[in-house]
Amino acid sequence: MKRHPLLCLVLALLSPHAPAAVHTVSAGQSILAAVKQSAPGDTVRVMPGTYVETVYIDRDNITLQGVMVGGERPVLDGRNTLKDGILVAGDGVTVEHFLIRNYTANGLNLQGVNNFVVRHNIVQDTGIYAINPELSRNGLVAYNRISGVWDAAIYCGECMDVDILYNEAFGSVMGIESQTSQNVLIEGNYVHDNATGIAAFLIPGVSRKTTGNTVIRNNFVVHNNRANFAPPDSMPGLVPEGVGIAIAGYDEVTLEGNQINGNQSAGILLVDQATAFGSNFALDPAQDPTVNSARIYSNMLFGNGGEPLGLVAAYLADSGLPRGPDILDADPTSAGNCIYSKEAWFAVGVDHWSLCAQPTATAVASMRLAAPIAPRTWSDDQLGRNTWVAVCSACHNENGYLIGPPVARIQQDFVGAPEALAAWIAAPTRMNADFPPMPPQDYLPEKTRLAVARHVLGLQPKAAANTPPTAGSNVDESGN
Amino acid sequence: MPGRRLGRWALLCCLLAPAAICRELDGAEIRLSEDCPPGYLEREGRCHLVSLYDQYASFTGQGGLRAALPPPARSYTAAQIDLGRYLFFDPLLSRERDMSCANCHRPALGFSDGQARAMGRDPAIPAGEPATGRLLPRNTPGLWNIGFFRLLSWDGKRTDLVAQSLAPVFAADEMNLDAGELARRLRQSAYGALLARAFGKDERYRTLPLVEQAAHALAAFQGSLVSLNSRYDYYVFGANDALSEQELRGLTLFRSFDTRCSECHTPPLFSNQQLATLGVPEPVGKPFDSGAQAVFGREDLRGAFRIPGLRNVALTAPYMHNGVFGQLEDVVKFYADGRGNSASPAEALKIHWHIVHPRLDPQQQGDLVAFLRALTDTSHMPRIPTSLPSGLSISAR
Ligand code: HEC
Ligand code: HEC
Ligand code: HEC
Repeated sequence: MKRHPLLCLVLALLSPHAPAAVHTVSAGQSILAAVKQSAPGDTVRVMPGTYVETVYIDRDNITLQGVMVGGERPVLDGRNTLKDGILVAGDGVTVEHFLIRNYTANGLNLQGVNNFVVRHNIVQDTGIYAINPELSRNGLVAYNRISGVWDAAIYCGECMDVDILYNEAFGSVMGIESQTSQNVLIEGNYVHDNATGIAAFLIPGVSRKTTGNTVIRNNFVVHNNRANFAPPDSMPGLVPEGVGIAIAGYDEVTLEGNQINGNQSAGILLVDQATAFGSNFALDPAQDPTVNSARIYSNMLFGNGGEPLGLVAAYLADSGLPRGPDILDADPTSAGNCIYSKEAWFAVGVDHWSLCAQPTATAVASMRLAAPIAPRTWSDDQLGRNTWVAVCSACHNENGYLIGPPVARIQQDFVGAPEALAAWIAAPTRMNADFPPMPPQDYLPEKTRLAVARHVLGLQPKAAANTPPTAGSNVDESGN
Repeated sequence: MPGRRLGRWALLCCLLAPAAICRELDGAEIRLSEDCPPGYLEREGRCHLVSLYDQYASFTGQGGLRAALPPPARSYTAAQIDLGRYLFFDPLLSRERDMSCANCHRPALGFSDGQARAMGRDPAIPAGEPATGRLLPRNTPGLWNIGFFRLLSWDGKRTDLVAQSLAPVFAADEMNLDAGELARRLRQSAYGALLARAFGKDERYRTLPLVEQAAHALAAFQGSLVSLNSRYDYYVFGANDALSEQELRGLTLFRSFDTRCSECHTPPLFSNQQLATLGVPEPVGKPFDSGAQAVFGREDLRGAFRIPGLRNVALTAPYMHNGVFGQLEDVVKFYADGRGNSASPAEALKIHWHIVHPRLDPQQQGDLVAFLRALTDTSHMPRIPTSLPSGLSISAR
């Protein structure tokens, strides 16, 4: 079918894919309300002011952008009573330029999100995690300043293809944690005054079973000597104090170019999962608990191990060493690990390690994907057919009477009028006395209703048709 | 093939029409459906599940709102699925011919039974004498969306729905048949011909023994119990006002790290299919249930259970492996009371790290319950047969 250009223009103007809009939120208004007004592609700009709310973003491609005016930025403040600052479940979401503080659960949580960006935020005292992408893929967490949480300030849980760059993370139980993830670059961060600076942990009891390809490069990891203030019965309650970089059970971590100073237990600690978590938590039969294929290239390690605590102190007590090491592999079963030199640093437990061959990880520029993960798109035909099958076929079929009338009758009533059909199913009026009323299908977006309408009208009804059921008898089989 | 069609319509009539017509048709040969059940698209003779979740890209198959589900383990034909429907409701599969799967897995109750613990049979009663009930150790789980699960039973002892399907048939305190007797009953009833018709030309299952074909048919039918059209799903598919304010508050709590519900009950199935120890109390007088410990032989899984999906959970009270909680309110209060609140100190359980100390006031607990109730959708409810190939009558619905 050939379309008239003018018609195309009219259609374009009427189409629901209006050009991206900008919604501005000012002090006294609700950010969530603005997000709910927005459509994919829109930007919500938030002016300075204090916003006491939990904002959830369940739509795709929304940019939530704080606007700094005269040195003031917008503040999301949970007043220590609200649980979460921002919850994201839409793909392609960006959150930037906010101050998020005083929440009890998370500052910013993203679950199951593709293509996310979190940058230039300050996050303070937000409970468990400050910035927490989990089960998420292809994202950037950069230029944030985060502090004061009792688990990890930045936590990448069961993630893939993520860059964590140029953040300052301090005053927390952990600064940055890559949890049971794959393809993570942690670079250029300033991580100080946590109990442990940077952690790569294989955590038991989650659905991901493997870890790998994680590069920790060019970070400043200094004075992570904070007392662990997590509840003692929690998982982070087991995180060691005074450790620069801790690796537990996690495979394929590469450490390169980090400045690791003044961490009082050890600069770098490697342990197996059982030693790290086994005292209080079940291990996972489907996970390999040892650290494998760690690579420690040149790093600046200085002044670590002066006053060892906890796990490291216990190890030293057993081994009679004078002070905490720069590098400690507490897991004699670890395998495939390599080190730049066994003599450059005070390295303990590395006898079974090899020396690293070149090349290093320097060539890795980013772990993010070259292009955003594309949404799966259904053609209108697929959308119509699949909606018919997934939704409507519960009550209608092509050749007989289910709970609703057969396709042939629908086709008769709406011949050549898909728009009318699409409108009718959103707000059904009574049509057939011999059937019960139909529940409104208004939850389906207009595009979907039109696609399914076209699909029904194009169906080939099968030959035979049974007789209409007598009133009432068609529902009693449903078990409800 | 007008003859075949007529047979099918006769059956459908029988399903739909008043009892008088059914009785007339009782003797008629049962025809298996040639149409895939709701939710399936036929391709190359097999039924393939279609859901609106298929339109989303996701690398883990779970998490957040919009994740594509992993495909079911197997696909079956319309006839195989329909045959499973008859088997599921047929008491022929029990020794005294008085108990079908549906006695415990009742359609109107989310395919569970409304009892704290399932009522089985005392195997010590000799054949032919009136059966006496025996209380089984665990609650009957609902079966909606079970086809997506790769870890089955409360304690995770099975990984395949086909293997799971005949376990109750062979269990002495449940349906109490052995494989030989089951095969004999299938062969000597109309099932012999129906199994041949459903499986005889199917390369994948043709050569399997009758009993295994029956297991596949049961799995095929159970796989068709798909529930992905609840009001929660409407919200996911883009209907922004499908959930009430209270339900939205509940969703916000459900996915908060304060409660961590969604860390274990991860959407869209509302289970990440892992094992977890919660420290759920046992009812007074019932000994501690070691759960997955016995299955995996690991001390640290003592008291661990498979994280159940929560679809249609409003229909499947009472709750937990032992039915100790009568209402959803009780379950939520259990979580709200905090980590280890009911665990016996004698057990030293390794409670899962996601079980914490949420801060939930009564209103918030109510919000969570309201959200759980928005997960109800039984639109793909199968038709309950009114007559069975065995000639026995339906013992439960
Ligand atoms: C829960 C069962 C149910 C579902 C799901 C359902 N319908 Fe219906 N439908 C009915 C019933 C019952 C009627 C008869 C209502 C009446 O006539 O008043 C009906 C009537 C109709 C009619 C008008 C029939 C006529 O006489 O022309 C159309 C068109 C229709 N449905 C389309 C759809 C489409 C498209 C979908 C899927 C998006 C759908 N229905 C989903 C039960 C259902
Ligand atoms: C006497 C009551 C009873 C009967 C009859 C019964 N079941 Fe069950 N079913 C249960 C109980 C109780 C469990 C949980 C057992 C456990 O986890 O230890 C269960 C578990 C299941 C599961 C696993 C569900 C899950 O969430 O992992 C499936 C599948 C199942 N039954 C299918 C069937 C089929 C098919 C039949 C008929 C062949 C059947 N059941 C007959 C009581 C029953
Ligand atoms: C650590 C993982 C985990 C977390 C977190 C969790 N659950 Fe559960 N949930 C389970 C397990 C395991 C069971 C089964 C326990 C048993 O039977 O002993 C269960 C059972 C349930 C049941 C009963 C289901 C049934 O069919 O009997 C409901 C309802 C439920 N959880 C809701 C919630 C809610 C609401 C939250 C958040 C407040 C939550 N869960 C948090 C693992 C978890």
